[in-house]
Amino acid sequence: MANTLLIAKRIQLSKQRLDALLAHESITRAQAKELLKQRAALDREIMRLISVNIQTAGEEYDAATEALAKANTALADAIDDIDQIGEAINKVTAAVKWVSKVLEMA
Amino acid sequence: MTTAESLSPGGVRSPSVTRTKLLATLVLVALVTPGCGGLSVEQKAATARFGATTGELADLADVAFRTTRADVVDLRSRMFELGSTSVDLNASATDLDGPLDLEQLEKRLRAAAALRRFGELLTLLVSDGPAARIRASADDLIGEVRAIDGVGLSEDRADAIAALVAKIGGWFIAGKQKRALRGVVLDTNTTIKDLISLIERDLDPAALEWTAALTETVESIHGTLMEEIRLLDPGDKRTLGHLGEIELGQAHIAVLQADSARLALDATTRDRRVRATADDMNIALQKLRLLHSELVTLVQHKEHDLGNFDWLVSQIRDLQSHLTTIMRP
Repeated sequence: MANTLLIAKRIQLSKQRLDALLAHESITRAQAKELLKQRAALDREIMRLISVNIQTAGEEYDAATEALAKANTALADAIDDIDQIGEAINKVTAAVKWVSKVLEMA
Repeated sequence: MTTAESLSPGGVRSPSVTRTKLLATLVLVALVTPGCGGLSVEQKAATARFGATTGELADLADVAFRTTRADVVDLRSRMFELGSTSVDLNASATDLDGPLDLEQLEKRLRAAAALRRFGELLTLLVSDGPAARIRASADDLIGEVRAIDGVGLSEDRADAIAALVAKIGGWFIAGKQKRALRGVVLDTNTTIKDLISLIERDLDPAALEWTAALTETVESIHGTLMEEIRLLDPGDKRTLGHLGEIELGQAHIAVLQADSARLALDATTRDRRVRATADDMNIALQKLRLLHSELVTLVQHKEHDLGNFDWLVSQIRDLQSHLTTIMRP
């Protein structure tokens, strides 16, 4: 199993920001349901991270942590401006794909 | 040499015979005197107590590993029945036991078993037990350790332990006890430290290891499942575990909300209990590491220092009392 990694810390931050966005007063039910799909995907990736030892050196790992950093920035922007929520969801979706790729290589 | 040959014509013993007898007497005294050839009663008691306490701690770790997995399976099964999208039965890491597969549990139980075997071996080494049992215990320890990934015991070390233990038995066992104890403690030094670290990491909820599977499951119930159910609308379709996909009515949603609230409460209670146990276990493991280091230092002294053994005994008592607290329901 993996130790606490940068990738895991960034996933945790993504989940915290998703929670903050879900609690936003202007969010619609449809948007909230979409955010929850991303949150569930991150829940699953964390469990996969516990189950394997991933390679922390490599282009894919760097790309995944970078994608998560961009997703977190986009989520923070959406918390400030709810109109940015679509962009945030796209960034989180992209980050989840990168994390999955890293986990598949483990 | 006969008695007649050893005497001088006048009946006086020769100097060489006297020296030989004196040497033999000194060797005998060295072998049976506490602190010289063998171990004193206090040293034996301290070592036996250390061994027993190590075994108790290993048993608690064993229970903690099993309990955590059982909790995860129970919580995730209920999540599945409530239609949680965080549970995916088609993926090994996200199914009902999450990352805590039986094979993974087996590895953890082996680590606990190896620590228990170490405790048993120390106890047996100072207990004047049958040599065959001591040898079997050493073999068990070596076998357990070799089956664990990430914990090393080189062939040389394993052979050294086996050879030392094989010498036990026969006359003047006390003299060999001390040497065997020193050998076993030193040859397993790194291995035991690795084992303690391995168990410590697994029980730390902050590390992404064994206990984290439970804390992440609990977090998923609160953060995702509860929200999913809160946002359900009549007419929504949801796959509810073994029931399969159904179109939800108002009554369904009310039942799901009540069930998820109960699950969330139960999950919080279990998480608190596991975290409390993990904290206690980590304190106990830190104490064990300290005591083990002390034991390693003490057995390297030419003469065991009884003063330090007294300190060791008091620390072991402290650890035993801590373990009693953990075991209290």
